[in-house]
Amino acid sequence: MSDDLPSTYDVIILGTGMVESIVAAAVARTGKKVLHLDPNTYYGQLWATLSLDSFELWAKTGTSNTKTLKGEDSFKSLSDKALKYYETQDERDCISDLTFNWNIVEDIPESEEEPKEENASGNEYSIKKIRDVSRKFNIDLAPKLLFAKGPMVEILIKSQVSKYVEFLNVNNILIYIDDAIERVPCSKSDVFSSKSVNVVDKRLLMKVLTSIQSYTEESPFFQEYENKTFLDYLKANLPEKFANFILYSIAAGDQNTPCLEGVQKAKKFLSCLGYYGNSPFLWPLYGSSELLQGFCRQCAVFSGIYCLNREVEAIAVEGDKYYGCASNGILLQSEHLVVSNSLLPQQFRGTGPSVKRAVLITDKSIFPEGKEGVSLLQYPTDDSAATILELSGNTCSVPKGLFIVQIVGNCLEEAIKNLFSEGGDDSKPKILYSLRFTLHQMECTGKLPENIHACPGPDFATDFDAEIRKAEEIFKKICPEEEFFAPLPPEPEPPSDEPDSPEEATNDA
Amino acid sequence: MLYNVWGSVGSAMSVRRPVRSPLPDDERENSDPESDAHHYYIPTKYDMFDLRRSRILPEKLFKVIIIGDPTVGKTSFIQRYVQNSFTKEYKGTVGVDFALKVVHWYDSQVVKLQLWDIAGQERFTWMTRVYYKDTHGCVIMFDLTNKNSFENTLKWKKDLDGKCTLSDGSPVPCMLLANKCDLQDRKVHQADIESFHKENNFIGWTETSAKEGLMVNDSMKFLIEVMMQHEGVNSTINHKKSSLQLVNQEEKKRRNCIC
Repeated sequence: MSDDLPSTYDVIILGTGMVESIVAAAVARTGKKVLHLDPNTYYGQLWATLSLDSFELWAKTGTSNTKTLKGEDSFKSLSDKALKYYETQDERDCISDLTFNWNIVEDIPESEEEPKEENASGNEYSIKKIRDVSRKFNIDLAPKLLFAKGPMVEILIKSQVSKYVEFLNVNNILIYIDDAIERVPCSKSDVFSSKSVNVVDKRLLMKVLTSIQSYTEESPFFQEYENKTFLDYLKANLPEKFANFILYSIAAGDQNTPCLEGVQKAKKFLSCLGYYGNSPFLWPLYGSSELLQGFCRQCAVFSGIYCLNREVEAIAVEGDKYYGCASNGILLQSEHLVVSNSLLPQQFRGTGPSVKRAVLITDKSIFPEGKEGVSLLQYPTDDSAATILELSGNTCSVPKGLFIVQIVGNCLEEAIKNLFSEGGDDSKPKILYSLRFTLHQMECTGKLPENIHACPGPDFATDFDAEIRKAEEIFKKICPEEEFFAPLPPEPEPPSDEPDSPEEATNDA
Repeated sequence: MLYNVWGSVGSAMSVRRPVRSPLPDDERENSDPESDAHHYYIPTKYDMFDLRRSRILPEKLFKVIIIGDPTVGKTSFIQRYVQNSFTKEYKGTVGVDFALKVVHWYDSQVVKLQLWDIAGQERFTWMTRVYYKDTHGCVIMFDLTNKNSFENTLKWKKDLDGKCTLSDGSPVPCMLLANKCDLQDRKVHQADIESFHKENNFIGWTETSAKEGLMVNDSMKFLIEVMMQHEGVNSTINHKKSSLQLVNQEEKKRRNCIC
């Protein structure tokens, strides 16, 4: 398609990750001229949501599209200015140790399928049959949840990007404890109506939940635990089982979480209940990348220009200031550059912490007695924990009858072994497909020119709070005078029937 | 009509004659049965005094997206259809997703059309899924004087079908429009368009001119007709879903008070 891109902008944004896309929308709303580029043919980079075909291609090649490398030195003759060029890197370096495996037959011949039909109970899947409905899969590379009262929800509403996205409640909050999966009573009404908690424990749980909810900075109640862990506090007030419920599921903590941090996190969880049903979390239909696509759409509606499948080969710097981007043989100039950490030139990029991730396709829910939808399971072990997110058919992420399971955490192998079967054991969900990899966070290590703003890739938190904070920070550097997502003037009233004026009658004649 | 070249749908269009409404004679003249405009009911100044008209008609809302290469005339087409005007410099309204057109359909229905413009995302073949989401109908447009834009319509069709279907899983009804038929310098043959639109499952095609206003209303009327038929089969359209939409809590409360 047409390649007559204008050559100067206020802001060029390189990469369509979550932070980059939020900044794109925020900046375009203030009237700045934005160019948003991505080397891939899809939105989101490591935040993308992919169909099964694209996901399998991504697993094999590291990107869901086949790139052709351009002449490396082509940009060096672009300008007679004294510019120093820094070559951009590949986001692929964020992934290592990737393995994947189909655990079912390639194809089931037509003739055999007929008699099998009667006693088929999930064993009738074949790779071909699943690939045939590839488009019904929306598999997230970086699945994350929204706190119902968190900053992402607030910005979505304020920006009106919320109109592009629909949500489901995360309706099963679960924990793996004593070799079984249990539902966590989250709210006081859950505790009240729970049949598995006896009257004495109910009273204790209520008391603890109330103290956490009423916590303020001056709260004398927690002060005696100032240098102790949250678990110490919980164990002193509750039976061990319920202490674990609150520590792992409600506070998303571990044995070492300090008491005050645990109380704050638990309070946040509890304060998010009741806004959108009795669950503190929301999950976007069609996957997490709907959010960033919503921000990209808004940027485009505010005249931002989008160009996917477009690489920037090098970043040009003049003295100590960023000057422009060399892309496809031309130099694109802008006042500011917003760039994904994963694409930063090697002089500025370092490898940060890493975590193990797995994606499974299964034939049964881990918690069949729960409500259909989204389940969040915490899997604590002695020295670490895994977080497991399961999506069923009504999330639009997977065909009906199948499940997508996303696992984050360094003890994920143990969780997989205990929760799923590779065949044989019919009581557990069977793994039809599995993919495992290690995700490395890239960090900006060198000193970047002031007008380059680096954006982190997916971190390991379950929510988007850090991404919103970072986007606002970058926005403030580019537009120091403006409010982050200042409310828009009300949309003009839709034209009434009047434009249907009689003159129209003659137009087509 | 000089440039009116409907594909296989030509006959379908003429099957349903507009229902005549009991209009006063002077109004009837105004809406000549052969003219395009007669397919809608066109309100006049008499309406506000006519109680028969003021009854509340059932409403339907359709989302229609208009896609195609840059400069083929998508925004001009929307502008012509909604505002009945043509400006060379028209850039679309910054900050607004879609233009709204209200059509009185056979005097028995109000059809509200959200016409989604592509905004700045047209420089490459890949749109966000949020743009395609929940769309009921699609217009893919090319420029008769630009052969490349005709060839690219297939990419647009594939992008659409890859990212979006109707709620029953069937493909989104998609109409092919050959714009700029007022210009002399044609690069695409009618026979090619005819076979192309059949091979690629477009519901129909026609030549249009957003500049002259040719076949703008007629083509949209045809698309509405097809969307209405789907709507009949597909009862989930225009129905409430179980998913949540985020709303400002205060606004929600206010709205509840009014109810």
